[in-house]
Formats: sequence, structure tokens, C-alpha cells
Amino acid sequence: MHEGPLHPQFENLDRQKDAARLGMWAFLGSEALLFTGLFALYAAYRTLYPDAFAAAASHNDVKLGTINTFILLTSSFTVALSVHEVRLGRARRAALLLLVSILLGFVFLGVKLTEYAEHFREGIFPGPSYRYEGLTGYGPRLFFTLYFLMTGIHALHVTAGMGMLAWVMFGAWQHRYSPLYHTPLELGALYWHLVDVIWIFLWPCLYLMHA
Amino acid sequence: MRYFVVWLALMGLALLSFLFSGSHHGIFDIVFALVIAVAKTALVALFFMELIEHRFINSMVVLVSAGLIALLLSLMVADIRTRRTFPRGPVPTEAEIPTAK
Amino acid sequence: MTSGTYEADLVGDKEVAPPSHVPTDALVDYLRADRGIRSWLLTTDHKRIALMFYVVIVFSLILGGVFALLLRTELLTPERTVMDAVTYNRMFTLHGVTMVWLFMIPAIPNTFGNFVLPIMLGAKDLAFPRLNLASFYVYLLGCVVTLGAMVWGGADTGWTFYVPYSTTSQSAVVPVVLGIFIFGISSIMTAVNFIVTTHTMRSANLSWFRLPLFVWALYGTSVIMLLATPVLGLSVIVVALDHAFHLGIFDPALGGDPVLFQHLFWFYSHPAVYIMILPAQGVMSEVVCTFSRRQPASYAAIAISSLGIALVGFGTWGHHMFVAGMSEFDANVFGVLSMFVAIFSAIKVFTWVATMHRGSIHFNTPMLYFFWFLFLFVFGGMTGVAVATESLDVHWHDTYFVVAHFHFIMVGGTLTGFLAAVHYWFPKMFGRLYSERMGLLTSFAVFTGFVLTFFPQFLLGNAGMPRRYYSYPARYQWLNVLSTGGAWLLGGALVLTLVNLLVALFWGRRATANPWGSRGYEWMTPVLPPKTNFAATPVIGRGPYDYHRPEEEAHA
Repeated sequence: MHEGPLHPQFENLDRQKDAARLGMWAFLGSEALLFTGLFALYAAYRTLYPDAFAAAASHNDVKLGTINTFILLTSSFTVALSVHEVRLGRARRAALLLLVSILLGFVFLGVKLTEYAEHFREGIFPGPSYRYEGLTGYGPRLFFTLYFLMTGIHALHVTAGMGMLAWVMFGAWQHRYSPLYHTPLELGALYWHLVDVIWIFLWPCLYLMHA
Repeated sequence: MRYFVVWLALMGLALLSFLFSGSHHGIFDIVFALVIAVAKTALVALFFMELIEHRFINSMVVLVSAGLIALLLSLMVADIRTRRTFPRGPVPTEAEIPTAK
Repeated sequence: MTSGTYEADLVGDKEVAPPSHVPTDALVDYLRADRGIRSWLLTTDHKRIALMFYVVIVFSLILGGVFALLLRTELLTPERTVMDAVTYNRMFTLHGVTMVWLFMIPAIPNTFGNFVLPIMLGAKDLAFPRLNLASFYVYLLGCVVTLGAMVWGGADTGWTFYVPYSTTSQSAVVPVVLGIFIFGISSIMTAVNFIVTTHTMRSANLSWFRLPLFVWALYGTSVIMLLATPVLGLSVIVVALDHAFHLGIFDPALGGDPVLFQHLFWFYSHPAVYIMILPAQGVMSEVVCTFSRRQPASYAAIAISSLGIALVGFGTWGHHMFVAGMSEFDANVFGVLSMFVAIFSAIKVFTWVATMHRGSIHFNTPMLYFFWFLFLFVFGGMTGVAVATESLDVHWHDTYFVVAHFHFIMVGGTLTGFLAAVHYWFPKMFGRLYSERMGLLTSFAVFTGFVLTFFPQFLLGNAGMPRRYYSYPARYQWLNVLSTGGAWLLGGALVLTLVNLLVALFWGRRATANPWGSRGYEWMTPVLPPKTNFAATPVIGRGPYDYHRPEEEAHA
């Protein structure tokens, strides 16, 4: 059971771990502020076009959105479990849990793609190509432009998160982590949980607050 | 084990949110949805992300970020809500405009 | 790795051989420690990274200055002088973008912060040295992308990229804003590094209230960099996407609201000016104490004010939008909050002045820059309070009055702080002394050139001349000519400053470890710090401004 490398600038492993965690939390803070701009635009435009936004939100498939919410919440659960398993010395089990999380991520993206396809079929595109007859006017087009922007940028982060989980999954499978040292896994898990938290707010804004 | 309990709570809150969105309570639609979202976030942060066991400075990052998010959203929405348009006043005729001597 | 104690064994100016258990190659200075270009390009030593930043940042300052001189020369006459109107628009955009993102934001943090922060904390390096190196290359990439856009003529929107012009302009908006996004990434990397380092790498006895005030300033700066920059990142990404795909998010014809872009843009860009001034204030705290041989009149006042500026500064962004179409309610809120943030700067100014009282003032070049800073920052700050008054801003908004105000702070504050730092830490970074006589001359020339350039602009703005205008009524010409004359003088003075320092770099007198007799922790290392700063973590048993102790005791 190894303790992991101590980088020369640190006094001891405890400080190194504290530093890694704080660094990741600080980075997550910056990611949260990145999405804040989009939520701010949503909030402002919703205030400007309340009925149109509510009507447009009804047009999203709330069942698919809710399924996606359950998927991401569960994937957060499996990721948290994988960290727990490594702490108990069961690195291979942790790797399998991470694999499940990644697969759930794929399902999430798959559902989103089907939703996008459905929207495109109806003529709902971001920006100028919007041509859905059922919802016209400024409000719905702005809603859906924001919808594509917000879910699109979120999907990018989901993909990046899946990449990180894959990285630490291989590390866990190759027994690079132990109960004494699993910092990369913890940090990757933190990132994934943030991706989940962003969706926790996207879901009500884009699906639940409907007419 | 506690992760399982937290997961159940999260799924329960999500279900609650979904069911509540079916009915309509005016402004409380938005309030309720956001309150549940914050509760779920708190559960994920405190237990899945283990914030409850980390050093306090990590929580400070979350609190300061939350404060700034609230600041930006509230003032942007306040801008939209409190804008007033004033009707154009009477336009002075040529004769009424004072000319410089 | 044992945590033994090893202080730089200096008694007065003499160096004493280190204890025998310390390997001597740990004490080779950082410039000579490894050789070859790869050892520089792939270094993780925060001091070498600081020097690499230094080179590119000085280059950026020169470039931004050239753009400024070109546009000021154009403004010598109301008609075309040296360029046409389209080029003029691109020139002031380039000047703004270059100065803000290539120079001002990284100048003090990435050069001097990188160099002295770990040493001030008794650490061997920053918390994440490879992230530090990455932040340099990301910054360099940002420079390449942003300046590379000049190939397509650059953007003509002004550095503020207001929509709907920026989303419809045919100029090269997309590469410029993408470059800015990349700079943002570098900023955030730096911020993460500084925050984590300050929290987790202080040596044993260094409580927060024993840290040098420069550390507090960098910490406040890093908080802003971390949390404000992403909002800018998002807003420029939306502009880029909107420009490329005509999303129409801010297009009034499609129901959009252009003022919302301004909210997002200024939510970053106002705190950004605190990113620019806080480090300069931090430098001034160090300089005032060193050259007055006194501890700060109130350490807590300056430390807490640094945090106060960082946090309250987030709430003031709407004062850039008083006449943009924002609601009156919001305007009132922002007006009041803007008054609050000024209080913290005022506290610092009074504290610095009180620090000098009964001190032993030494008029070295850094201290001279402090005096220029004091005058110019107070002037600039008070005109800031003036334009924060909504009713007055209706008259001054988008005139040269505002241009003068922010140049008083940016140049009179930040650049002066940068130059003070350049001279103050010169012996520590390069082991040489510059000519104080030339320093006196050049700093005076910089000050004079600055005042001649920007004071007339207050008068121009108050008389009604708008900013960013290519031509103007003839009655404004004499003030424009004065301003341009001052600009050339300022440019010349800065070139002379550079020459003085380059001469000192190669032929200057060799410096001792602590030529200023400062009690600051960074002066405890040998003349040029070794690669790992210390052979073993120092245990610092005193405060950073203990001028009541004689120098021998301070170094024991």
C-alpha cells in the first residue's frame, strides 16, 4: 500500500492533499460562475417574456428531462461509491462503479441527442433558423436559443467529466490508488458532482417551470 | 450506506419536484422548484462531495460563489423588472425655443 | 524531507557559509542552477516563470504604448493625420485589448507575484508549479491569437465589445474575443495557484496576520480573478457564437436586450480594474514601509481593505451603465455601492501617509514612484467617485473625462505600481543595482509626461469631447495637441526607464542581499535566491515590518 508521490514543494502529504482539494474546489467555483452568466440571461429573459418562456418550457419533454435527472443523480451516487470503495481497498470494484457512471453519462447524452433530434424535426433550432410554427414570437425563440446554449455547454462539461472519470477508472483498475492515496479519483469525482449540480438547476429552469 | 440514503433523498426530492410541477401555484412554482434544487445541491455538496468533512475554506469557496451568483442574478432581474418608460413630453415649437443673444 | 531551520545567514551585508548538512548545490542561484534553453522553457521554478512572463509583459506594454502613440498622433488634427477612421477604430480597440489583457491584468501578479509570493510565505515554490508553467503558455497562446487577429485587421468595437455592434461588425471580432477567453483561462490558473499556495504553504509561524501586505493584495486579486473571469469568458463566448451563427441573443429586432450583455461584461470588467489596482497597492504597502523604515500605521486596516475592495468591488458594475438604458432602481443601487468601495482605497491612502509620519524617508526610485502614485491615485480615485455620481455621469459618460479618470488609475496607479515593483525587486531578481540618479530622472519624466497627457483630457471631457471619436471640432485641438505631446514624452520616459534598467542588468553594480535594509521576508534570501528558495523551510520568528529590530536581529 503506497502513499503516493510527495511533490517537493510540499511539507507533507496532508498539506499536499489539502492543496489539491482546495485547488479543485476553487476551480469548481469558477465553473459555477461560468454557468451563472447563462442562468442570469435566462432569468432576465424569463422576466421579460414570462408567458412565452413558460409555454416554451411546456414544449420540452418533461419526462425525458426527469429521466436525465435521475440518471445524473444516480451517476453521482456511483461515483461517490467508487471513492468509498477505494478507501476500503477495493480498487477494481471502484473502477467498475466508475464504468457504470460513465455509461450513465453516455445514456444522458443519448437522451439529450434524441431530444435535440426531436426539436430539429419540429424546426426548433437556435437563433435565426428557428421555424417552429407552434410557438412564435420573440420569447420562444430566445428560450430555445438559451436552451441549446445551456444544455450544449453543459453537455460539453459532461463529456469532459466522462473523460476525467475514464482516466481515473484506468488508474483504479491498475491499482494506482490505495486507501492512503486516491487524490486524483477524489478530484475527478468532485468535477462530476459539479456537472450533476449544474443539471439540478438546468432541469427546473428548462423543463419544470412550464405553463 | 449513507451514500445510499442520500441518493434516495435526492431521487425523492427530484420526484417531488416533478410531481409539483404538474400543478400550478403562481410564483410558488419557481420558488418551490429552486428551493428543492438548492436542497439537492446541498445534499450533493455536503455528502457526495464530502464538504462536511473538508476544511472550512472549501465551504467558503461555495458560500462566496453562491453570494456572487445571487448578486448577479438579482440585479439583472431587478433591472428588467424596474425599468420604466416615460411618455414623450410635449415637443417645443420653433417659436418656443429660446435663441442665444 | 525534514523540516529543519535554515535562515539566510546574513549578518549585515556579509554572507556566512551555511551549516555543513546543507548540500551546497541547493544554494546555486536560480539563474545559474540549470543551463540550456529547455531548462527555461520547461522550468517549474516560479522565479524563472516570472521572468518569462516579465519579458512578454514588457513587450506587451511597449506594443500597447505604440498603439496609443499612433492614435494620439492621429488626434493631433481634427482631420486625417496619419490613418483613416476605420483604422483608428481598430487602433483604439487594439490599444485597449492589449493594455487590459496582455499587460495590466497579468503585469504585477504574474511577474512579481510569481517571483516573491512563495518566498514571502517561506515556501519552496507555488502549490502547483506545472500549472504555473501552463498558465504562462496559455497566456502566450492568448497573445498569439489576439494579436494574430491583426492579420485580419483586428476588431473595431472598442475593448468593451458592446452588442449589437460587436455581433454584426465585419471586423475580426471572433479571433480577438477567443484570444481574450484564452487569457481568462490563464488568469484562473494563476488565481487557483495563488489562493491555494497562500492557504496551504505558509511556513510554521506565519499566521495570516504576519503575512506581508503584498500577499493580502495578491489574495484579494486572486479571488476576483477566480470568480469574475468566468462571467467574462461566458459573455465573450456568447458574442463569438452570436457573431458566427447570428443567434440574435442580444438583437433587439429579435426581442433581445443589448443591455444584458453589458451586465455580464461589466460584472467582470469592473472587478477587473481591482485586479489591476490591488497588486499595485500591495507593492506600495511594501515600498512605503521599507523606505520609511516603519511598520504600517495599521496593518489590519490595509489587510482587511484588500479583501473589502475585492468583495465590495463585485457589487458596483452598473456604474458603467448609468446611461445605457438600465433601470433607475438599479442605477441607484450601483451608485450607492460604488461609493462604498471607495472607502477602502481611502483607508489605504490614509494609512500609507500615516506610516510615513515619523519615519525615516529614503528617496529611492521606488519611493518616488510611491509619491507619484499617491498624487495620481488620489486624483484618479476622486474623479472616480465623481463619475460614480449618476447625475454627473450623465454629462461625463463616454467623454474624455472618463478616459482621463481611468488612465489616472491605470497608468498613474497600476503602471506606477509596476514601475515601483520593477525597481524595488530589481536587486533581488537580478543581483544588480540600477542608477538611482537615472531612476530619479526617468520617474520624474514619466510623471510629467503622464500629467501632460491625461490632465488635459479631463478638461476635454468636461468641455464635451466624446471618447473614441476620430475627428472633433477645432476648438478642442489645443488640448489634444497638449495631450499628444505628453504622450510622446511619456513614451520617451518609459523607453529611457527601460534603457536604464537594461544597462543596470548587464553593467550595474552588484547588489547585496538586502540593499534597502528591508525587514521583508524575501530579502532574507541570498542575493539571488537559490532554485528552491530555501534549503529547508525557514522558521520566521518575527513580523514582516519589524523595523524596531536592528537588522542583525531581524536576520538572526
